[in-house]
Amino acid sequence: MDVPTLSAVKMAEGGEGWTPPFSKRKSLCVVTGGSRGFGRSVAVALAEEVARGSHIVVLGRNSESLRDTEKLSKAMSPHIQITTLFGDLSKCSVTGSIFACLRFQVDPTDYDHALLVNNAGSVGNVSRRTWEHGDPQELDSYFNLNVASAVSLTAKFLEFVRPGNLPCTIVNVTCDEAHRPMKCHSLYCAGKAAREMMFRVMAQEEPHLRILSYNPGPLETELKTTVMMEAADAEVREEIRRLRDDNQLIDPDVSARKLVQLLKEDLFKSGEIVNFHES
Amino acid sequence: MASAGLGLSAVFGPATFCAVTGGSRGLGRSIAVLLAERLGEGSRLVLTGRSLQGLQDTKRQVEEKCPNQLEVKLVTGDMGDSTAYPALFYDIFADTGPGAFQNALIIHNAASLGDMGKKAAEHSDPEILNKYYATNLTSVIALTAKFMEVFSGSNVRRTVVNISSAVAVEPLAYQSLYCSGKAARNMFFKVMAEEEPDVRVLSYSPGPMATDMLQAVRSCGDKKVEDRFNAMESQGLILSPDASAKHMCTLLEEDKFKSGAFLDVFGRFSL
Repeated sequence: MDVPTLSAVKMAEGGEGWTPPFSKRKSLCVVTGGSRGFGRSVAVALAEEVARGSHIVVLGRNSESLRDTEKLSKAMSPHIQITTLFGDLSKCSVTGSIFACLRFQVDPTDYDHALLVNNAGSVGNVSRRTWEHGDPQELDSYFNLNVASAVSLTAKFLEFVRPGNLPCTIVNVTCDEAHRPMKCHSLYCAGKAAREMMFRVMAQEEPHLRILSYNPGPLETELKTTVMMEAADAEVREEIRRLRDDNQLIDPDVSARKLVQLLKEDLFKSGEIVNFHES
Repeated sequence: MASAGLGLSAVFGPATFCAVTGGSRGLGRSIAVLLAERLGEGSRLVLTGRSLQGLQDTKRQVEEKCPNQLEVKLVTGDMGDSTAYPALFYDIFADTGPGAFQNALIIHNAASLGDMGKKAAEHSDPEILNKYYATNLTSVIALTAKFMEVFSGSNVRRTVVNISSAVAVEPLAYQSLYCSGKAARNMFFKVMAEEEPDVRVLSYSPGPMATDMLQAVRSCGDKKVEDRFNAMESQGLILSPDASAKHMCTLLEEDKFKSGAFLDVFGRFSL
């Protein structure tokens, strides 16, 4: 399949297929897992860069923390709209209800661009070894949150913004563990591998979509602290402790700004995986 | 090294417990028949599948080929229904008390393709996605957990085979469910191999085979897919499931693979 060159894609300003540069486009952004950690950082970094009239919708599981994300984002720019939505993506009904709710507040035809950042996820019970994951309900719930919800949300998001005929960018937040087996992380590795592959297939099937799998690097967040404290394997705990002590854990704000920079430049190949550490 | 004459394998010699999921047809059937020839005295072959008729036909073929008195047990069930797992797993592992077996082997072969009419960006129903992952991912993880629980203890030689596919590493249009499920399984078993050095873990890509599953993919309505398989066929690249099963058995018997490796029948990759 021939992929049009970037110069061909960035056609004459105002012409068909032209996308205004990031700083000038009114973006409708949805960020999942935005109550804290990397999701919050992404919401804030987007708020700093998106154009006046943009709208950032942040989805999360903790109302109070969502309010903090909202405050921090609003502080970045008074000229954009921030909406927070409370929802637990491990429940099937939530993906449908998000857009049912947004339909009353958001008209996609008001925007120039649509962006979805699939960030919500969990690391699973790291105190369990592969052979201890025997509860099918727990497993189903895990893959619902970490794989199914990201895919179905993406499909529903694209359906939602279709009336606006908007250029769309989809981000899949991934990690090393999608390729690198790590003890105590069997579910996390499996889920991230499934997601990466899903979005690679999507990129192949949808040449008009911009799809980026972004690996933010090992982040200084609660997720890593959980692993450091609870992982069944001493080596795993030690590895994270070492990363922390050597200052190799990355500030999620810094990584989020890198993501936004990649989105602004818009030079990535759709379907590709880009790491924080790549220059 | 196989013993001469009877083709008995030292790797799967006497008192081997062997479970093959999806044993009612296709590759599962071929694997069952080939492994049965290699299992020693006091061994048991458990076949699971949705079709009792299919399982019975496999059992008949096993009994025709197999020179030893092999106990063959059939368990019907649907891996897509996680509420049925306790009963299903109970049946699979019944009468496997400590000391009953010296070797234990499980072949995760059962799989489904999912809806090939939908592109990834059209999978808006999480219930459908969940059902797919329940059948192809959750069931495999939960069944492996049960297998490990039943055969815990270092005196039983344990082998876990994940029947995978090249699509675990190569994205294919209209196959997002199948690709992502296989990618997930491969990673899960790589982690297992890291955590359990005493267990032999193999992810095996059997190649395109003349089975009902291939027929389903071939007739999905996409001209490009149809053309690709026609080309493969004319180049002799579509295997019989027996040939692929044989290659898998050879890998297991030679026992040289690195645990957690992802190996392809054609040697196209070794990951």
